[in-house]
Amino acid sequence: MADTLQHNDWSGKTDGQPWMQRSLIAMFRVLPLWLLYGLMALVVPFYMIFNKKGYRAMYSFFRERMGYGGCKSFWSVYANHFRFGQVVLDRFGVYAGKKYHFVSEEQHVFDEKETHEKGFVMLSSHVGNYEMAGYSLKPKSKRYNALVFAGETETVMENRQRILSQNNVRMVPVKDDLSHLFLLNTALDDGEIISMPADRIFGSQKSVDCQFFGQMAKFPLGAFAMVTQKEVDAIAVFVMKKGLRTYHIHLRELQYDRSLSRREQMSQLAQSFATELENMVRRYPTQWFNYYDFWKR
Amino acid sequence: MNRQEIEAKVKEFLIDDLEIDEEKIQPEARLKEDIGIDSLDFVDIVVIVEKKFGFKIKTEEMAKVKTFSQFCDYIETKIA
Repeated sequence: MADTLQHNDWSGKTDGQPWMQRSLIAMFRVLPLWLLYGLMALVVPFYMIFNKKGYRAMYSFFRERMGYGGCKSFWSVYANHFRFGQVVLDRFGVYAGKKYHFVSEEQHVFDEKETHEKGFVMLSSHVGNYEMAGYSLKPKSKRYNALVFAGETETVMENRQRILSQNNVRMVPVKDDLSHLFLLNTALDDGEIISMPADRIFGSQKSVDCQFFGQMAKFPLGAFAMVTQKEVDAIAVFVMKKGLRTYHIHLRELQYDRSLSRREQMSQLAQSFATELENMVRRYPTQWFNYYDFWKR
Repeated sequence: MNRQEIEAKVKEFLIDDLEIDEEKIQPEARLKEDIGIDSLDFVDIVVIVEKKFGFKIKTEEMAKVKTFSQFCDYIETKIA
């Protein structure tokens, strides 16, 4: 526990210049979704060729973790890049006013937590399209504070803000002055909902080792430290693409024994999250979007 | 609570809760560079200070605090 984590291969930013992103939003207003997906399918092979690091990481994931053969792994890498393109396009689709359909069999988990006086934490990861949770899981009474990467382009941030603010969602950008931590702490004290990524670093390099796909992998300690320090409940949220305009929201309540030492609580909670994440990735293998060696020691 | 008691309490939670080596905690030691406190530890500090000293740390005030001694000064001012 509390080892350091070095996953600095990731910029955390949506690809493309602001003008390109604005053009994409404009295109969405006139072109059908299937046509944009079709155009993207032609671009994916080039992306695979030029993004060698991502290709290698993903190929290795399908070969070593999923146990696929060489040919299936290659096609799965293509499918994975295509899926990733789709979820990015869908975000811009939302910015352009396109409507998506969300299905969840576990909505009651969110609704039930919302009735409690205490706040709770929603843990996200880089699978599926978590951003869509902010557009679909609409809290009735509590404010929802989403920790976001501060380096996104203005186009992305403005559009997110415009839509999320209608759903009682406040974006909390990660800042060097650590103001985001103070804001999240206060939000939980006020009984609000906070959402944080639990599979990649966002400041501290401290990590916790978890069994993940048969091998130990490092998960950032931040979200688990926040949950256990504030003694609140945690839910893992996965928003997975199912069809052209359909997303399935999976909510998993995470358990940890509050009578244990803080160190053991963090470890137990992190393992509980890692197990749920592995189950979800096994179910939707082409929606695993961590394009680096996740198991690097 | 006097200054010595504040220092002792702060030292105690840095050692017990954040697992900081005692010898690193010197009056002029810088919180980040010398003592090794990182952003994650600040989550704990905010909560512990609230529990032990009964006030909520503010971002803008904490931004000026660089050393262990300044941190104790800050607490002293807030609980005075």
